[in-house]
Order: sequence, then C-alpha cells, then structure tokens
Amino acid sequence: MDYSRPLVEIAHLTKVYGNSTLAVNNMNLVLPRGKIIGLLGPNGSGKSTLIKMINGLLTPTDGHVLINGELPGPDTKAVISYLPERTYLLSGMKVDDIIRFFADFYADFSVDRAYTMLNSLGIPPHAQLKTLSKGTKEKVQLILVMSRQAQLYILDEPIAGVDPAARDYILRTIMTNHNPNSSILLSTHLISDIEEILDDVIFIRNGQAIMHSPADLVRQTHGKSVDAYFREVFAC
Amino acid sequence: MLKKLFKHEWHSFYFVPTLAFIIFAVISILLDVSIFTPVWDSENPFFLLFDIMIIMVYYFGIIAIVLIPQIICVVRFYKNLFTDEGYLMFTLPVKTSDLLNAKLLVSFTWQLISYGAVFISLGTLGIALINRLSDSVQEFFRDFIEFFEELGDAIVETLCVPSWTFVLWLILIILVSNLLNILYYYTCICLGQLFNKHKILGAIGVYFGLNIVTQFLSRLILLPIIMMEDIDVTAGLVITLGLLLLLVFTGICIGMYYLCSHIMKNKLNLE
Repeated sequence: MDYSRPLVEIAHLTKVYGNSTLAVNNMNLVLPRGKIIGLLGPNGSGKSTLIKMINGLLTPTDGHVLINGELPGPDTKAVISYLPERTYLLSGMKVDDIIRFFADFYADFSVDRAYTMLNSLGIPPHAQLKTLSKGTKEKVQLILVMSRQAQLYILDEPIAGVDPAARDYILRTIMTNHNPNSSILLSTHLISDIEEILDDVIFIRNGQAIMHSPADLVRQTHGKSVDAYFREVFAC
Repeated sequence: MLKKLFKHEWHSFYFVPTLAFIIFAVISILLDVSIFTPVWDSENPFFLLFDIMIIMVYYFGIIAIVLIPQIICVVRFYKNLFTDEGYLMFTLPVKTSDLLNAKLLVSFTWQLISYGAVFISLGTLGIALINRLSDSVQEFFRDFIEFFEELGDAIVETLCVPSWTFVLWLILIILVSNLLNILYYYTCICLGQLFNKHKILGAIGVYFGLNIVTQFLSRLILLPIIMMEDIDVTAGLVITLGLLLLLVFTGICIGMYYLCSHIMKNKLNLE
C-alpha cells in the first residue's frame, strides 16, 4: 500500500446499470486523509453507487477507484470500515456472535469499545439479532463500524430512519470514536443535522461530482449554510 | 482467513442437518431393532401397518438427510453472498476465492457425511438382516464374507477389472460427482447474477438450460458406444471409459469453479 498517495483516488469512474441507467458518470475525485467529508446529493444522484464501488461491491463500467494506490481487494477492505444503508447482519446470530465475527476478521476491531457502546445504548449482548428492532440493528451496525481503527469510515445514510435522540448519539459517536488520522465519508441528504461536523463537502448530481470544497469555504463564499446552499443548487 | 471463514460457515450451517441426522439415526436404530422382534413375522394387521410405516419413514429419511444439507448449502450460498448479507461478506478483508472455497468445503463435507450416514445405516440394516437369517454367529460371518466374495467375482466377470480397481474408481467418481453437484448449483446462482433484473428467475432458467445441454452432450458422447455392435468388454476398454468419465467430470468441476470465482470477483453487482 502506498500511503504517500491520497487515501482515495477516483478516476473516470462510470457505472451503467443494465443498458441505460447511468448512475455514475465519468467521476473524478480525490479524498484526502484526516477529513470528515460529506457526500451530499438528492436521492438517486449516485452516492450509494459510488460508495459501493469504493467497497468493491459493484464492478465499474469504466474507470477505477484506488484506495492507498490499490484497487478494491482484501488489503483495501482491511482499512475501510463500511456502514451500508441497509441491514446486513447475519440473522441467525446474537449480538455477541457478530462482535466475535468482527474481532475474528478485523485486526483493528476493539471488542472493549464495542461492548462499552452496547452498554451505553442498553443493547443486551445476548440478544438475537432477528429480535431487535430496525433502529436497534442500525445502532449495532454503527457500533461494529465505529469499533474499528480504520483509515476510512464510509457511512451511507447513517442517520436516516432513526429517531432524533439516536441521531445525536450517532453523530457524537462518530466524532468521539474516529481516529483523527482517518477520514470519514458521510453520505446523506439530511445535511442540516451533520453540517457542523463536516470538514469538506462534495455535491453530487446525476452521477457527477459538481463541487468539492471545504465546508467553511462554502459558507464564506456564499454567505449561507451548506444546507441552504444545497437547497439552492438542487432546487426542483 | 479460509480457516476462519470455514469455522463461521460451519457454525451457521450445522444445526438443522445435525438434527436431521439424529432423527434419522433414531429411525434407523428402530428399524434395525424391529428386525429382531416378532413384528415382521406376524399376520396382525397392526404389525403389518407398522412394517409398512417404518419402511416408508426410513426411505423418506434417507432422501431427507441427503437433500437437507444440499438445500441448505444452496440457499445459504445465495442468501449469504447475494442478498443483504453480501454487504458484510464481500467487504470482509478476504479473497473472493476464500469465500467460495469455504462454502464449497462445508457443503462438500456435509454431502460426504450424508452419504456416509446412509452407507452406515444400510450397512447396519444389512448386518441385522443377515444376522436374523443366520442360525449361528459362525454362519453369520460366513454368509457375510461370502456375500462380498460373490460381489467381487461378479465385478471381475462383468467388467474384467479387479474389484479393488472398481471400488477405487467408484469412490473417486462419487467424490467428484458430489463436488460437481454443488458447483452446478453455485454456477447457476452466479450466472443468474449476470441478469440485470429477476436474478433468481435467471438462475432457475440457467439451471434448466444447463440441464438440457448436459443431457444432450452426454447422449452425444454415449451414442457411438451404444451403436457399436458386439462390443468385447475388455479391461482396457473399461479402464479407458472409466478414466474418461472421471476426467470429464473433473474438467467440468474445474470449469465451473473458475466461472463462479470469476463472476464473484469481477462481475459482482450487489444492489
């Protein structure tokens, strides 16, 4: 792995679903180290597709993604901690089991931190995953992701579908548990809730990155919050 | 990482087949024990019903313990890799081939356990029957050994090869066929993933399509042999045909394995 290069390099990345749906269109982006980056765009703009290609879950139609100078593979997956927008937990397991599973496969996973977060959220470690509510499962997934010392945390819609109190907890967890040398890529369309924690923002529309800028610069340049500027740019 | 994947896959897999095996073992023991009771000699309609019921339950039990692990392995392959759980499995820091190998190894092991259990069960049933029909222990062992000697002689007479050669070939072909059976389903599921929509229907379509192709090809290969008149069955012919069959099956296994591996690594589109 080449740590002198940017963390993520996206070059001419394109993804076409079927023969007609252009989800990501010749995207070029560089994600630096040590930043909290908001990946912002309306529904269907290509955020999740981009994220899946970074994680090796989708094969690009054209172009490539490099993480530490390498194509997605076991080495890049070892340094990325990914929270998808859907529940991916193995239904036959208990919370204890999935923690052991993560500890088995990820050298940077902290079991103590995971149990501390479970305890603070009141989630019983012996609970069967299939008996948990959707919101609780999402919290368990977040705990699993944030218990790792990854170089890149990718959180796809981490606060959609959870109550406001849980949202505050999730955002606090993100801020207090991530490694300052790591980057966090946060995909969301609920910008006002996360704006204050963002270093950089990327606007995505129709599969293309139309802006990549520090959040403070957006506010200074346009004299308004990132949320307000987003609404202006993406007004229907 | 393969060892860890195997461990977790085994742990997720074992409960239902183990339960099925325990139930089958109980049925098998009941049948074996019943042979030594008057139940089988009686004209009592209740006992006659029992005879029929236990044979039927035993027969379906054999089918169940062969089919249950196969069904679980196929469903699990699809569910664990190509549904939401795939978001977890394909983001693990492991090679794609290790994901495939772990599932293949666990499925293959359970298939062997199934066939082993059936073999042992039929063996104990055979022993129980021979024992019941023999007048003494010495006669029982004599009958037992005589049975296998006659079987060996029949193999030599029919196939012109030593019986140990035939047994070795049979073991190899069973192992390769088991692997081929599992890879066949995996291939259908992987090829189904190449469809843009209706991936499961696509996999089912591929299954039937592959079936038709393999049926056609096997008839094409066998046709010259069937049409030959007055074939002299020689050791050379038997060994050649046996090796050819083994090679063809092995080749198909290798092809299917690499096809699955290629699709999982280079054509994955989890949506």
